[in-house]
Parts: sequence; structure tokens; C-alpha cells
Amino acid sequence: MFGSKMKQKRIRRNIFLYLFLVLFSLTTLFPLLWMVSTSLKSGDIIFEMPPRFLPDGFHGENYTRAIEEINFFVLFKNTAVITFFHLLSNVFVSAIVAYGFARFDFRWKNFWFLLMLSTIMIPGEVTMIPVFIAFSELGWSNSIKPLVIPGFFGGAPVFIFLLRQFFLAIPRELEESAVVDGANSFKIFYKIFIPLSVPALITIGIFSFQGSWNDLMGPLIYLNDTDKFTLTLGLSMFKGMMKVEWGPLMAGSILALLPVLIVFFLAQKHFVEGVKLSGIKG
Amino acid sequence: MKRWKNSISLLLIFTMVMMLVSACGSKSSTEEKGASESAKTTDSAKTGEKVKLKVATWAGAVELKEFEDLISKLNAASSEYTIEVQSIPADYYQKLQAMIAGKQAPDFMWLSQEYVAQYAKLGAIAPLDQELAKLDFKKDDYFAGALNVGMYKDEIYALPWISQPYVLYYNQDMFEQAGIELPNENWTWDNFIETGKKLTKDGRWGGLINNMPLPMFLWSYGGDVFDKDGNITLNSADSMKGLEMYQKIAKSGITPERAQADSMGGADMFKTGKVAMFVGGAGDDFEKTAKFKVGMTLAPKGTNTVTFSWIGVTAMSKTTKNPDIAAKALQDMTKAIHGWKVVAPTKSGFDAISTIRPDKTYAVDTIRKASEIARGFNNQPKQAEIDGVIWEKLIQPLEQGEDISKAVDTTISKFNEIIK
Repeated sequence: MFGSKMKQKRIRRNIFLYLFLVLFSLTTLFPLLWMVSTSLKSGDIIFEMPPRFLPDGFHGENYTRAIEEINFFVLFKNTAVITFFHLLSNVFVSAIVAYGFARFDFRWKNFWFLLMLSTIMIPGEVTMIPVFIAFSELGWSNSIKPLVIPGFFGGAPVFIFLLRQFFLAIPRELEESAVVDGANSFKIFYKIFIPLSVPALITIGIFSFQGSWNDLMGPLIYLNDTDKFTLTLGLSMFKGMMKVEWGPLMAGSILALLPVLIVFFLAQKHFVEGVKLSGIKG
Repeated sequence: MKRWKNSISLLLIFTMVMMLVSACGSKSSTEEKGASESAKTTDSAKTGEKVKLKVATWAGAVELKEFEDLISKLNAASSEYTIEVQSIPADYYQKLQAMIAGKQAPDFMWLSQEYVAQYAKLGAIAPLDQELAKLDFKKDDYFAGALNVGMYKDEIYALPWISQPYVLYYNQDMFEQAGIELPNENWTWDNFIETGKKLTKDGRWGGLINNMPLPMFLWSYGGDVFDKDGNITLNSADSMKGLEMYQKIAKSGITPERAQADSMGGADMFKTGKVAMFVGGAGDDFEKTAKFKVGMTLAPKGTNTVTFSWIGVTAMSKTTKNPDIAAKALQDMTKAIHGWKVVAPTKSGFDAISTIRPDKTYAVDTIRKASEIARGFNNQPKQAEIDGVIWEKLIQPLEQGEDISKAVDTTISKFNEIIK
């Protein structure tokens, strides 16, 4: 008797809990669902009052336009190439630099570390034009070089900071025993630090991928030819100064979002761990 | 440890040497490239080889394709130049400024009227009078208001390619259902308010003004924010009358709250039948998209018949290497755009409107009259900052019903800080 009352109470509590969770999920999912719905609507009903959630039939032409008008697959390839090199530099070079800050003693170490950290505080807008001029002088404008090469000369300060903190938590004893076994510093790095830091490296990889895939300002400033553009630039073409082509814009955004979603689902476990680890939300 | 230190030092030295070599190599190659391009340009004029030019545009997707087609026709027809289109699909002015600062300015750039004075003063764009004098440039063919925004200190710096005069659109069905006489060319702002009051009912509003530039009200009464010489005239008696009218309309109850109008978009509110009257660009596509009968007439007046026009111009970079040929290309390109974009800023190009946009045929006379009385701002070199002050210190207090003289004084003191 008492048990069935308890059971009923638990069921009632669960119903409320699940109802709350479903409602909350819907609130979060609504913009995404609206995006999918808009991508299938005809131009006429996008701004109809009162708003209509379901599309007026299946308007696949928005997807055709998104693919044809901005040369989607070329832009996809360009974005993938830039993102690959960006990710590579951010993960591996940042790890090497972080290892240096975590395990080596050199003169003014803390000063250099603080100096590096202070670069995070400088807004990109301030450095944009001088950096553009510098790369132009190198003859790098209208190429992907300014977007990928600098990362190989020091990685990214935020990631260096995160990895340094992670490396500091690795016990020195492991290193000392490796030294006894005759390992040099580089061997210790790739045999001990890298394997132990896989979750942190994957986290950085995901953030780096997301940042590079969605970057607008970098490609905008450095790339001039439309066949060198990235997806974010291509999608901006649907946002004219006078008129926004919502249908193709939403269709293109969904197509551009797919790789990010795939990466997210593949690395979901690490992503959540990464959020816990770094305190950064995507 | 010592071995490590040596390795790091070596690596650093190697990196620095590589960067230096790369920089020098690239710099010299850039210089060589620049020099060879310059030489090529001079040679090209002699040898008959085409001069290469670049035009920066904010056009995107379909508009960009249409523009590229138009440019390729020009390129095919010209023996002197080849124009390349450079698309800047986002943060247009930021990218343009970076390119100018990096000495990579495109030869031509589309500009909105507010930027002409600023770019001219900074020396980013070139005066065109000398080059245009050598061509068959017909200054009188342009509607005066449109050409004026391309001028700075009495010199032409940019050629307008579009001028969309603001006109009064009205929902004819709403008027007819309410049995109210349709608006006409002689309407004043008081007529606008009176009729708006009759049409404001059942969750619908009589009119909208949030998309209109405030100076248009000042011009309606003979005032202005700045005169042509850059003197502040915001506190003149005529300007004050315009500001009073703006506040009167804003507080009359015939317009939706700004937050609502801004979030829904003024044009979309009119298109969806939420607003009966809308003052907007003559090229807007209401005739194609609205589900009611759309009417058009001149924008209401005060003591003066005048309207605002959204004007787009093309300017020529000061760094273009062959100004004579570039000016010719600019003139050809501008003429070609007049046959593509609605509304053309020239009298000769105006008639194309019926061919390009047959849906506007019913209103050609109104649009012509609007083009004749349309004008842009007396733009100042720091126009962007000035616009910010007008919005924050003038429009918002006026709409909140605050004292006009006080708002004007505050605005003027801010202007003085900017232009000092």
C-alpha cells in the first residue's frame, strides 16, 4: 500500500520532470526547427502574419539556390582546408608551447607567459589593420596563408593556457621515471604528456574546429576572389544591404551546419568533458 | 638541459631567419609586382593592352551574378580596360578600410552617400572633375540631388548609380474600405496625421516614420542639420519646426512603438497590412509582394516639397594607376548600371524604369517628380559619428516626448566635440 503510493508519487514527479525537460528542449530546439522550416518555405510566406510554422509545401529550390548561387561545394572545400590546418596548428603547436611553459625553467618565464596571456585581452579589431598590412607586405593577401600559417608559429594563447594548466596537473614522478629510463624531454612530451592529455587535446580540437569553421572576419579580410571564399562568406552573400534572401540563407546555413553537428555528435563525450575542464561553452 | 637550450636557440634563429627571408622575398616580389604592374599600365596605354581595374561591391548572390554579367559585357566592348569584380559580402566598410590602409584599394568602390565626404577628406578617393572633363560627361543629365552627394568641396568624387527617392506608399484597399480619400501630391504632414488617426484601429496603424531619416522633416520646413558649408543649422527656426512635426507624429498615436516597428521591420509591417501608409524607397517591391492594391504618391510636405533619397555611388581610388582610362571605365560602368538598377539617377536613364520594373509603370510620373525634388544629406567627414549622436541625443528623446530645445542643445554640443 505504502509502496504503491510511493510509486505513484515517483511517477507523478517524473511526469513533471519530463514535461519540464521536454518543454525546455523545445525552447532550445525551436530556433533550429524554425531554421529548417524557413529553409523549406517559399519567399512569400516567410514573413506572413501571423507566422506559419509549417512550410507551404517542400521548397527544395532554396537548397538548389544555396548550392548553385554561391558555389557551395568549392566554398565547402576551402573551409575544410583552412579548418584542417588551423586545427592542426592550434592543437599540436599549442601543446608544444604549453609543455614548455609547464615543464621548463627559463629566465622571465612568468613574464613571457603573462605577456602571451595579455594578447588574449587585445580585441581583434585593434590589431586587424596593422596585421593586414603586415601580411600584405609579405605578399600573403588573397591567400589562405594568413589564416593558417601564423598558428604554426606559437599556436593560440587560450589553448596554450588551458593545456599548460592541464600539464601542470600531471605528476612529476612519471617524468622522473622516464628520465631514469633514458627518455629526453621530447620523448617525455610525446610518450607521456600527449597520451595523458587526449581529452584536453580533443576539447581544444573541437573548439578550434568550431571557431575556424564559423570564422567570418579572418576570411573576409584576407580573401578577395569569390572562388577562394569560405562558407560563412558565401552565406553572407544572401544578406544583401537592401534585402535578405531568407530561404536560401537558411538552407545554406543548414548545409554548413551539418559538419559541425557531425563533429559534435562524434565527439560529444569529450565536448562535455571539455566544458567541465575548461569552463568554456561553445 | 644545455642541449635543449641550444636546440631552442637554434630553432628560434632558424624561424627568425626564415621569416626575414620570406618577408624580404615577398616584399621584393611585391615591389617588383607593383613596379611591373605600374610599368605594364603605362606600357598598356601605349601598346593597346587593356588596363586592369577592380571594382569592390557589396552585391551578393543573384545581384552579384547580374553585376558580373554587366561587367563582362563592358569588358568585351572595351579595348582599353578590363574590370574585375571584387565581392565583399559582409562588413563592407571594414574590409574596404583595411584594403585602403594596406595599399590594396580597389580602383573603384561602391559607397553609400554617407562615406563620400569622409573618404574624400582622408584622400582615399580621387576628385573626378579633370578626368570627366575629357569625356562626354553630362553633369546636367543627373538629378541635382543625386549628384550633390557625390561631391565634396565643390568637386565630384563619385558618380551615383542609384537614387531611390522616398515616396508615400499606401494600402489602397484599407483607404477604400474606410471610405477615406486617397493621399495626393499636395498632402502635408498634418494630413498624414489626420488620416492616420482615422485608419488607426483594430490593431492596425495609420502610418510609420521610424525608417525615415530625421533630416527629411527638417528639410520639409526649410531647415537642415548642417548647411552646405558644414555649419550647424539644427537650431534654426525652420529646423525646429521640422523637429516639432517629427515629435507630433511620433506622439500622435498613429505609428506603432519603435521597438515593434524595428523588430518586425517597417516595410514588412506595411507589406502585411499592419500599417496603412509607409514612406519608403521608390524601388521597393510592394507591388509584387503585397496582397492588396498598392498606391503611391509624393511624400507629404511641410512648407517645402522635398524628399530624401537613398543614393549609391561609385568612387575612384586615389591610387588607381591610370586615372584617364579608369575614369572612362567608371563612366561606362555607371551608365550600364543605370540600365540595370531602379531608380536611375539620370534623366536619360530614368525611362528604363518601365522596362526593368513593369510593376512600377503606374507610378512613373510620381517617381520622376520625386527624383526631381529628392536630395541626400549634407554629409560631413565624420558623418557616421554624427548619425550616432542624432540617434542617441535627438531621435530617442524626441520620441520619448522630451523637450526639443534641450535635446537640440545637447546634440549640438556633441556635434561640436566631434567636428572641432
